Amino acid sequence: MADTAETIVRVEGLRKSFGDLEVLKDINFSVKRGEVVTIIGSSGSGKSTLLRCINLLEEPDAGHVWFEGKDLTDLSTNVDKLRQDIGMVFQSFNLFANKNVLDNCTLAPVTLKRMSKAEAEKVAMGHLESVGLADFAHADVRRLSGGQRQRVAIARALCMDPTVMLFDEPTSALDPEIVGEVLEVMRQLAQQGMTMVVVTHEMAFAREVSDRVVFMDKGVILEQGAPAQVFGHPKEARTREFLARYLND
Amino acid sequence: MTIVEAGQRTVSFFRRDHTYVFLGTSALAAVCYLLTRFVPTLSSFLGAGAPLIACQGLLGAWIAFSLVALVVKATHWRTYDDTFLKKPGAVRITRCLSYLAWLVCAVVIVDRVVLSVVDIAHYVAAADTRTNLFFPDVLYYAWKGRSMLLQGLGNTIIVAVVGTLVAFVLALLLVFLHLNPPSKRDNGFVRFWKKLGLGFYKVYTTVLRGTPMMVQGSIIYFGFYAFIQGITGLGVAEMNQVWSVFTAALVTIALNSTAYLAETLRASIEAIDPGQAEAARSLGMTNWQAMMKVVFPQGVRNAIPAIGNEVVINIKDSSVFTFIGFFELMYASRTVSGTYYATTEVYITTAVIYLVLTMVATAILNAIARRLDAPTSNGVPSSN
Ligand SMILES: Nc1ncnc2c1ncn2[C@@H]1O[C@H](COP(=O)(O)OP(=O)(O)OP(=O)(O)O)[C@@H](O)[C@H]1O
Ligand SMILES: [Mg+2]
Repeated sequence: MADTAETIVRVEGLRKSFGDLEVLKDINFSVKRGEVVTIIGSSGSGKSTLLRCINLLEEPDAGHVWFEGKDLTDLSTNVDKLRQDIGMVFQSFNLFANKNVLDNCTLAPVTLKRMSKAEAEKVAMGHLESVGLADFAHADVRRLSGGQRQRVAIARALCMDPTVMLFDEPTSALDPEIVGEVLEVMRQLAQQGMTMVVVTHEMAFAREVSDRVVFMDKGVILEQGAPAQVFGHPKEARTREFLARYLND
Repeated sequence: MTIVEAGQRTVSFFRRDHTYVFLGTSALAAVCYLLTRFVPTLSSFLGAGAPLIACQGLLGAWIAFSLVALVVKATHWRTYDDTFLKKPGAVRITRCLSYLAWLVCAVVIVDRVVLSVVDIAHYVAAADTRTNLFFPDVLYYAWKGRSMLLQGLGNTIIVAVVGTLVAFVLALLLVFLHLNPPSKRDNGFVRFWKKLGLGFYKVYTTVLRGTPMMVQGSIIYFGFYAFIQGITGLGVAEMNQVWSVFTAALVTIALNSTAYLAETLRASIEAIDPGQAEAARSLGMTNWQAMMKVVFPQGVRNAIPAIGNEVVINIKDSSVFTFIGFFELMYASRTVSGTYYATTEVYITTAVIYLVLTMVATAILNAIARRLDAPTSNGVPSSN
């Protein structure tokens, strides 16, 4: 799919170092509308950093990040405004601890979209419904399980009606038996045509749901392609090595 | 706690077999027995006759019985539950006897402590010379100096409470300077002001926390006095209207606490998981919005106990304003002391007033903190 679709995110010549450690070395990468891209790779290979550079939570040292044709790395760009259209879901949920489930979802729309509280709540209830948490709208987020928290985080991001959703290991902090409920929500989202970039260690999910798999190693994209190709016939020895570890599990 | 719960607790208290019943009640009975040896005062109803002897007899009997029980307990440590003392009837009787012991103790305490203090207080209030007995003299000077001490107490409370409240507002403003780090995306002008603000924050908190409040008060009082007088050329009487020691004390305590509270706020804001701010940013909120809507409310809530501590600290530390001649509780005590040529007797009263004041303040602040669902503090905080 997506060959003719427009490019939403384009990363060009991206570099990022933390002190002496060069984490991203000249990354080139793009995502088309409706595409689901998973990023895999071993720990420390720079997956999170790449994802965080896409919405500029991490400021790149060099290179460009275009989102819908606007260069985020240009110092005159209003990054805050563009981030409204780039949803992000974190490994550690990062819910607002001083707000209940519904208020977590409505804070940004009310603050940023000049929406009335009632209107924002209506939208939020719709998204909470779709992640299966409508009954928890008025619950304290500290009372929720990890899986429920992550689904709230997804609903919260969806409330801004984003063009693309970034997921940074959304299930890594969860107990194995509740990973499924979060993956199910993400699968639904993919089916509805959401553009998604997902960093994950869930190989079955990557294989089944994504349109493209990107394998990162030591700060570079070593190979990418359709899941059948990357999982079935990896070109690089490092990829084979990495996948072997997972397939043995 | 509901009334039902309280009722249930009371009932279970009376039904339970209390572990330390003998040890506790016999110790109390011994203390009360000693009290009965004191000379009775005017309104004592036990006097020195038959009622007193009856009380002493009961207390003595209970102490003797307790000793027997304790010896049995000590010798039959493992098999205590099988001794005659643990027979159901015996347990019930000893419990009733222990209530009787409590009752006698209460009577003795009312007679020899409460009524004695009342009598002494009555006496010293009417007396016009000291008694040369320590405790009555403490009451004597407290009574003599009461209007000055109350005035000093009032000033202490006003300066500590108002000063801390003003400081809290200023600290909120000050800490904003620290929350807005200059970023690459700001223009040069904004970046300059942010850096200046951050520098001001650091200098302010370092200087105000690094010098004693007594010195700060002196500089503020005398410095501004000379400054205002130099500009306006006012006389002493007018100057005391414009720049009184009260104003100087209030300004000093507010500026001093601002530094401490700002640092407290900063620490509790920095303790909030940065992931929450990141999530807010990822939704498109500006740094300022993320701070104001997410991080700041949580940080301030966590700082509430520290704000309460600051009030308590200021109640105590406002005593340094004696130095610039501000009529707070310590200055009032010194005045009373100088007027009546008495020292320890007066300062004991001063200490008791401060202690009651800080304890009441702590209790009130903890109640407020609980209301706001914030963590509560315990104990009295140390000085700045
Ligand atoms: N803020 C930071 N400061 C310093 N070093 C960092 C920072 N963030 C990441 N790093 C380092 O950069 C490297 C890449 O980190 P990154 O989080 O992008 O890896 P990752 O591929 O997401 O790994 P994981 O699977 O463990 O999440 C790691 O060595 C990490 O220690
Ligand atoms: Mg990571």
